[in-house]
Amino acid sequence: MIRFILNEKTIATELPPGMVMLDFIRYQQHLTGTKIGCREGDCGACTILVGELVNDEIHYQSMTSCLMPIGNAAGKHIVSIEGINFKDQLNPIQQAMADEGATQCGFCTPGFVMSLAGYCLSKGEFDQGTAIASIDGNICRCTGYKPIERAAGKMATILKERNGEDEIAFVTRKKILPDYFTGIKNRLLEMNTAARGRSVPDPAGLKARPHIMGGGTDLYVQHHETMSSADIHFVFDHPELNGIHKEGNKCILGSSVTVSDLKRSPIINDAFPGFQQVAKLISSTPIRNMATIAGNFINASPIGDFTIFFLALDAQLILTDGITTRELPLRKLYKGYKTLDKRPEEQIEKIWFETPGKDSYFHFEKVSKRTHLDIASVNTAIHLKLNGNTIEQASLSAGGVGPVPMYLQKTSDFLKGKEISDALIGDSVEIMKTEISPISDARGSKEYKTLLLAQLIKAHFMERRLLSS
Amino acid sequence: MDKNNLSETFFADDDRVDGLAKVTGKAKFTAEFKPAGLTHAVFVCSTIAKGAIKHMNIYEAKNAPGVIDIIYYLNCPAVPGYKPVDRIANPNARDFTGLKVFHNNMVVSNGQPIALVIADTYERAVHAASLVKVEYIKEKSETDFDKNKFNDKLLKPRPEYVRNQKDAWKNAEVFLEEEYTMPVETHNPMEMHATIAVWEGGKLTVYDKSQGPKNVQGELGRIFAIDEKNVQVITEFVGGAFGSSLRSWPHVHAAVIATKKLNRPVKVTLNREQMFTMVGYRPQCWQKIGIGASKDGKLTGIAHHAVSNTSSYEDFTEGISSVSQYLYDCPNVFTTYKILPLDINTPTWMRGPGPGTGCFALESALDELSYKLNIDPIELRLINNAEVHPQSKLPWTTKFLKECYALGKEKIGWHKRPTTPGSLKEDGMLVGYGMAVGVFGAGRNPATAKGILKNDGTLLLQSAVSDMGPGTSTAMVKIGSEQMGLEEKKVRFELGDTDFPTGPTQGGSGSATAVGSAVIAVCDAIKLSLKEIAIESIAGFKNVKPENIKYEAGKLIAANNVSIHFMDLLKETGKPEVQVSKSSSSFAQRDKYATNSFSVHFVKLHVHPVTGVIKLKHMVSAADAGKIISEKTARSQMVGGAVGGIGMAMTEESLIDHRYGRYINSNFVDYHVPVHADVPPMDIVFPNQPDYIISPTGAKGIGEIALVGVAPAILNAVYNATGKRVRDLPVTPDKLI
Repeated sequence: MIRFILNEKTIATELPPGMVMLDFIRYQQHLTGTKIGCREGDCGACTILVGELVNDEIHYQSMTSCLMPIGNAAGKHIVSIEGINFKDQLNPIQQAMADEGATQCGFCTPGFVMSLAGYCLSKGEFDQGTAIASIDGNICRCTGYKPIERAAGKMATILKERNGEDEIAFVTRKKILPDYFTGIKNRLLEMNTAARGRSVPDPAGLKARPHIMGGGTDLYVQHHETMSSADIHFVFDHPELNGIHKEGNKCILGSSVTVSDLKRSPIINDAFPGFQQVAKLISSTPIRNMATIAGNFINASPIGDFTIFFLALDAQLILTDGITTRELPLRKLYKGYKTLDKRPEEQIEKIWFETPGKDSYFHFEKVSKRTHLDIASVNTAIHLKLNGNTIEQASLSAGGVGPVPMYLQKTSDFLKGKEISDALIGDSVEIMKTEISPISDARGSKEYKTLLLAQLIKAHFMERRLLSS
Repeated sequence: MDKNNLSETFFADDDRVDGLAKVTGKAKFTAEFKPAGLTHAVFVCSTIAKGAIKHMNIYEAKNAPGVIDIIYYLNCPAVPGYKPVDRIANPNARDFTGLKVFHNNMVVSNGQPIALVIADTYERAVHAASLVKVEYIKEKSETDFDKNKFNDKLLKPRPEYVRNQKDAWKNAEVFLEEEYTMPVETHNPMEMHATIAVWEGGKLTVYDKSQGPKNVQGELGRIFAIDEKNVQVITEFVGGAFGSSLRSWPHVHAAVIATKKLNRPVKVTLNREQMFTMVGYRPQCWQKIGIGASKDGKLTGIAHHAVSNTSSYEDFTEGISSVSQYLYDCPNVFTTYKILPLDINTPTWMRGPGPGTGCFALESALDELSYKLNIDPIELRLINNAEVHPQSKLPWTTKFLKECYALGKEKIGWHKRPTTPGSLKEDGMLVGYGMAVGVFGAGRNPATAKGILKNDGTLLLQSAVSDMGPGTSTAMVKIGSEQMGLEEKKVRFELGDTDFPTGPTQGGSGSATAVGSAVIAVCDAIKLSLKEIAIESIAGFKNVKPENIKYEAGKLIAANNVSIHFMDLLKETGKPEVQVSKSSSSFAQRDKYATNSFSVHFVKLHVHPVTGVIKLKHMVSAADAGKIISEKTARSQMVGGAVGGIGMAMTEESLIDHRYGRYINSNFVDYHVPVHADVPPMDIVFPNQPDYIISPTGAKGIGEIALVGVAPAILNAVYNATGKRVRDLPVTPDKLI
C-alpha cells in the first residue's frame, strides 16, 4: 500500500509501485491537466510538484511525472495543476501567463505553470534570471518563450516581497496557491508517523529485487514498458542513503543525493565555487530534482556529466549487498561499454572524495549542441594540485570520447611535476589523442570530438588564467 | 470549467479568449475525450524499411490480458476508398495515394504501422504490442538522400521555369555558384497526434488533432463511403501542429477501421518516436544557386536548382526554387525542381513550406554576393527591389518590404555591423550581424461563418475551423467586436466542430483573411437584418431605406436622428435573436494583382572563438503582414516562428541510419527543439499597413513569414562574425572550428 496526498486528497493505493505518476494522475485519477509530450523527461509538459518532509519541514520541488514511480511518492504531497487552481479566480502565475500571452496552443502551458509554482515555493533568490532558470525544463514550440519569460519575471517581482516569510504562509496569503497548502505539513507528519518503519524498504531484500531505483530518470527512459510492473527496490527516500556531510577533508555523499541536493549544499558550494554554473549546464530543474549521483555512475553513460566530474576528483564508492561492504574507486567501476565491476545485488551506499584544497584547482567544461537540456558532445573535468606554476598532481577526465566515461591516465601522469606552459598543454593534447577512441554519432564526428576535447583542455587552463594566451 | 462558461472578468481586451482554459489545464485536447466504452489502441510498426511481412505471429499478444483485437493485413476489413476509382463513371475522381494501412503485407518504410493492438487500457495495449512477432522478407532499401540526389534514374523532374536566358548569371561582372543543403526537419508539436473514432448507428464521430476538421470529414466520408452528413469531426483544441495536421494520416484511418470493426469507440495515440515516421516532416533538400550581378549590384541572372525527397509511394512537392522567380527584380531566371523517392514515409508541409527552404539558399547566396560586390546586404536588396511582380508584371496588392528594412535596421543597430567578417569582438567573443528576407503567398480562401446576435447583447460566431495556436478565436472575436461595436467579452467564437458552417483548413497563413472575411460578411448581414426589422416595426424607421440607416456601437440611427439599440429593437419586436450564415469567396483578382506578405529578419550573435558555440544576442523581425488584428497574438506568432527558424538554423535535424532506414534521434533529447536559453531578446515590428484589396480584414497572414528567412539571417550573421560560410544546416559548433 502506497499512501500519499494528491492535491487535497489522501491516496492509498495498491497499484504497482513502478507505475509512473503521470499515468496515475491521468488514467487513475482522470486529471488531464498534466500533459504527455515525450514520456522521457525532456519536455516538461507533465511537470508536477512534489512536497516532502525534510527535518519535519515541508520542501517542494518540481519533477517530471513521466519518470516518477508512485513508489517514490510515499508520504509526500503530489500537486498537479488541478491542485493549484482556485475555484473562481486565476492565481497570479496563471494571470501573468494569460496577461502576457504566454500561451499559444496551450499544450505546454500547464507544465510551465507548475514549474513556476515550484519557483514560488523555492527558497532561493528571486530575480528575472532565477525565474527563467526555473522553467529550464519546459519546452514550448509555439510562443518563442518571450511572453513566458515576461510572465516569469512578474512572478519574481511578486516573490521579492517575501522577505524571509515562510513560503507556504506567503503563497497562501498572496493567493498564489490555495489555502489547503497550509494544512499539508501536519497531514504528512501524521501520515509518516503512522507509516514509519513500513514505507522504507529493507536493504537486506536487495538480492530478491532485480531493479534498484533511485530517481528513475534513466531507468524509465530505457525500459519504460517493463518498469511499471517490475519488482523494484526503491532507495530514493531511504534516510541512510541521503545527506551530504564532511569529515575532515573527506566529503561523503549518500547514494540517493540528487543534483539539486548538491546545488543546495554549503559543503559543495564551498568546495567548488563555480558549482552553480556547472549545475546549470546539466539537464533541467525537474530532472536535477530527481536524478541521483549514484544513478549517474551506474547508468554508465560514456558522457554522464557527474561521472566525469567525480572521476577527476578520484571519488570512491562504498558498495554493499546488504551483508558485505567494499570500497571501489569510481575509476575502476567501468570495464567496458555499460559493463561494471559490480554484482547485480550490489548497490552504491556512499560516495566519498577529498575536497579540493586551497592549493588545488578544479574545473569542468561541457559542450553540447543545445544550450540547456542536452547531452554533452564532449565533457571534461580537471583537478590539479599546484605549487606555484608547477603541477604536483593532475587528474583529467573526459566523456564522449570512448565507450566508458574516461579517466585520462596517461595525460594526467604526463602533466604531473611539470611547469604550466603553452608547450606543455600542446604536448598533453597529443598524449590525450593516444588514449581516447571517440566514434562518429549524432553528437559529432570523431574528428570533431577529438578537436573539441583538445580545445576544452586548453579552456581548462585558460579559465583560471593559468596560461597567458 | 466548460470553455463556454469562462468568467468574463479575467481578460483584458487584447488577451487570448481561450487563455483561461489553457493556464488552468482545463483545455481539452483530443486524447482527453472519453466516450463511454472507450478502448485504447497502439501500433506495431515495421522494423525494416523495405520488403514484405512473411509472417506475423499475434497469438501471444491476442491472449495477453485486456486485449480486444489485433487488426493487420490478414484480417483488416476492406476500405472502399482504397480501391482504384472508376474513371469512366467518375472522370474527376482520383485514386487514394496515401498509405493504405493494413491493406497488404508490403513494407515501404521503417516505422510503418503494420498492426493495431486494441485493449481495454493503454498500458495493456502497449504491452501486447510488444508481444507481436514479425518475420520479414527484407529487400535492399534506399534512404540515403545524399547518395542519390543526382541519380537521374530515380529523380522525378517538375517543369522547368525559364525567363529569358538560362545561364545569364555566368556572364555577369560578379557571380558565384554554391550548393546549400538542409536535413529532414520534423514538426514535433508538443501535443502528440491522437484520434478517437466512434461508430454508432451508422454515424461516425471522430475526435481528431486536425488543422482542417472539414477536410477530415470529407476525406473520411469518401474513403469509408459514408455520407458526409453522417461524419462529424471534433477538434476543440490543437496542441500545435505546424503542418503535421494538414491531412489525415494512417492513424486516423486505422481508428475508423477499428471502431467500425469492433463497434466500440477506439482511441489511437502516437508516441514521440512515431511522430517522426507517421505524420510527415520537412523534406531533406539540396539546392544550387548561380547568381550574377553588375558591379553596381544590379542582378543579371539567377539559376536556382532544387532536389528534395519524397516517399516511394507518393509524390510530395513544395515549390522550393520558385522563390527565385519573384523575390527580386532580375531579367534572367532559370529554376528547376526534382523530387527523389526514398524508402521513408511521405513528407508534408511544415511552417513556411517552399519559401522556407528556398529562401535559405537564395538569401544566403545574396549575402555572399554582397561581400563579393562590397555592397551592404540591405542596399543590394534595395537595388533589386521588385516594384511589380517580375514574372507576371502585375502590381502587388500592397508591399511594404522597404519599410521593413528601415524599421528592422534601426532596431538591431545595423550601423555597428563590421564590413570585414571576423573583425569585431565583444568580451572575447566574435560578433556578427546578419539579415535575410522572408516571403509567402497571401490571399483569401472561401469560408462560411454563422452569427447569432442575441437580445442580451451577445454575439456568437461559429465556423468549422480549428486553431492550432495562433489565436484564430481571439482574432475573430476582435473582428466581430469591432464590426458590431460590442465589447470583446460579449463576443464568442466557436470552432472545431464540422456541424458548424464550412471553414478552411488552417494553413498557409490564411485563417485570418478567410474566416475574418466570413465574419465581416456575417456582421454586415446581421446589420442589414436589424435595419429591416427596424424599418418594418419601429415607427421612426418607417419608409427609411436601409442604406440611410447608420449602425454605430450597437445602435441603429436614421437620418432624422431617431435611434434604437439592437437589444431594445429585438426585445420590442419580441425576437430573441438574429441568426445569419454567410460565405466569403476566394480572392478573385488574381489576374490584376500579385499577393504576398514579406518579412525581414535581423540577427546579432556571438561565436566563441575556441569552441565555435554560437550565442544569439538579439533578433529583430519586421513583417509586412497587412493590418495587425490582434497585436499580442501577432507578436507571439512572430516570436514563435523566429524560434522555429532558430531550430532550422542551429539545432534541428532528423538523422537516419541508412543501414536500417531508421531514425536514430526520434526523441526530444536528441532532436533538438530550441529551449529557452537558446532564445535571445527579440523585437517585433510591423509597418501595420492594411491590405483591403485582398480582404476586408486588411490582413495578409503571419504564420509563415515569421519563420521564412530566419535561418539565412542567422547563417549570414555567423559569416559576418567568423568569415566561415556554412551552407549545410544546421550550423552546429563542429562546422565552425
